Amino acid sequence: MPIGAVLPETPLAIDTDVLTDWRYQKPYAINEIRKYLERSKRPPALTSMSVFEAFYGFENTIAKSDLVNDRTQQDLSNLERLVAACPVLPFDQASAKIASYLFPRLSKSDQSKHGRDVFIIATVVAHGYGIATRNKSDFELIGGLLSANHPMLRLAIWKP
Amino acid sequence: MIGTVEIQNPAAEGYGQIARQLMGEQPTISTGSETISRQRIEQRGFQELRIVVPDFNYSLSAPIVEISSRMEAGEVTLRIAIDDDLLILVSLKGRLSDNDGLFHIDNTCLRIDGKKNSARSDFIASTFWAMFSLATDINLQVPELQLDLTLKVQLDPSAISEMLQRRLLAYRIMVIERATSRNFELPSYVTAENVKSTALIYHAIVHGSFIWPIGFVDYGWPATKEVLEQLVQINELPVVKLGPHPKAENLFGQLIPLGDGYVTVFDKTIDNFPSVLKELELNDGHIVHVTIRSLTGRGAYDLPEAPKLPIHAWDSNTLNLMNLERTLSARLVQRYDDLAADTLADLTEQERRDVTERPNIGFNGFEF
Repeated sequence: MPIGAVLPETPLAIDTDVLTDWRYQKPYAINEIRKYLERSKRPPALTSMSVFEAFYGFENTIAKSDLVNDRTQQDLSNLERLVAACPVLPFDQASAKIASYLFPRLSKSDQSKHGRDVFIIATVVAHGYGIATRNKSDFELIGGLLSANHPMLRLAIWKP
Repeated sequence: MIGTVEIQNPAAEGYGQIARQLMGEQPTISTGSETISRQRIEQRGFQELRIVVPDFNYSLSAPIVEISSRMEAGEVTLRIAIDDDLLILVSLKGRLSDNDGLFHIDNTCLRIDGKKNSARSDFIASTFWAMFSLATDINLQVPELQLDLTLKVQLDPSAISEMLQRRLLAYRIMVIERATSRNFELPSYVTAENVKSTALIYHAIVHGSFIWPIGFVDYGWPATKEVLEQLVQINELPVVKLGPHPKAENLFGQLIPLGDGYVTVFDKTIDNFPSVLKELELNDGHIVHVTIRSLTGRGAYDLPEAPKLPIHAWDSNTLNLMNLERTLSARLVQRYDDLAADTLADLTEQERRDVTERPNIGFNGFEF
C-alpha cells in the first residue's frame, strides 16, 4: 500500500524526533509547527508512544540519580504542561490491531529496530491522523506494509 | 464521456466533532484595585462599556443593557450587548465598605452568553475568548462610573486552541451563509462529517480549485467503443481529470449545490483494468462500473460554478474581528513554542542530552 500525501486539511501528529527538535527550538520544527498551527488552529498531536519517550528521558535521569535538581524537576513539570496542551492519541484497540498486523510483517532485524515506529504509525493510522517525521525511510518501510483495507498512512517529511 | 459518478472521500478523515456549548464563567486576575461608588451605580446615567485590548489594537464600545447591583451581597453584574444576540456578563465581586461607602472589587468574572445558535454568535464569542486569553491584559471602562478595570484572562493553551478552531469553523459557516443566502441553526455538537463538509464548501466558494483527499471515483460508463478507447488513454496517465459533473454537499441537513465541476485523481490506478476492458469490448451499451483510485489519497476539485462571496460581505464590526486573525494565530504559536522550549530551558547541554535520550526498547520478547 503506497504512502498517502499530507493535505492542507490533514490533522497531524509529530514523531518523537520532531517533538525533541521542537523542544530544542530547531528552526525547521518551529517553522513547520507554526505553519500547521496557523492553518489548523490546533497544536500537533502526540502519540502515547512519543509521550512515553519524552517522559522516559526525565524518569531515566531521575532513576539514575540520588538527588534530582530543581531545574530538572521544573522542566519535567514544563513537559507535563506541554503534553497537557497537546492532543494525545492513545494506543487503543484499533491501534493495537493495526500494530499486530504490521509487526509480524517486518523482518526480525526490522522488528527490533522499528518496534516503536510500528506503535506510532499504528496509532496515527487508527485515529485518522497523518504523521510528521524526519524519518522517511523507516516510516515508508512500515507504512508500505499496510493493506488496502487499512486507512492510508499520510506522511509529512520535515527536514532541518 | 457521459456516465454516472460517485466520488469517495475518506470519511471525515481525522476531523473531530466540535462542541459548541458556550464557555462558563471565567475568573480573571485583576491587576489593579478598583472601586465603584454606590451613588453612581444608583444614578444609572451610564450607557456604554468600553472594551480595550491594547495588544490587539482593538476597542469596542457596547451598550450596557442591564445592571444588577447587590452590593450588600457582594456582587454587581453588568450585561453588555456586544452583538444583536450576544451578551458579555461582567460580574464584579467584592465588598461594600462602611468607611467610604464604596464597593471594593476583589475579583471579576466574565461570561459570554448567546441567544441564538448561529455561526455569527459563535464567531464573535470565540474571537473574544481567544483575544482576551492571548492578550497581556484587557481594560473594561465605564467612564460614568469612573470604572477602569485592568484584567487578565487565563485559559489553557488547549482551551485557546479550541476557541480558535471553533472560530475557524464559525467563520467558514458564515462565508457559506453569505455566499448561498442561507442561515443554519447550529446543533450543540457539530459532527465530524459536518466539519468536513463545511471545509469543502468553504474551499469551493473561496478558492474554486483546491486539493482534497479522494480515495476513489466510481464511474458507471456505457460499454461502447468510444469509452473503451478513452479509458485505454486514461490508463496511461498518472493523473486524470474527470467531469464536468454536478457537485452538491450536504450541510446541516441542507443540500448546497456547487455547480458543475471537475474532480482530479492524482497517482491514479484503475481497479481490475483487464476485466473492465473485457466488459467494455462487449460494446452493447450496458453500464460498466469503473473504479479509479488514488494511490496516495490525493485529489482535487475544480468547481468554477460554486457560489461566490459578495464583495462587501461583512459589516465593520465583523471585519474588525476577522482582521485579528493574524495576531491571534501568531500569539497562539508563540504560546506553544514557549511551552516546548520551557521543557529544556533550565538545563545544561549535558542534562538536555540526558533527558531527551530515547529508550532502548528491544522487541526480542516477541520471539517465541
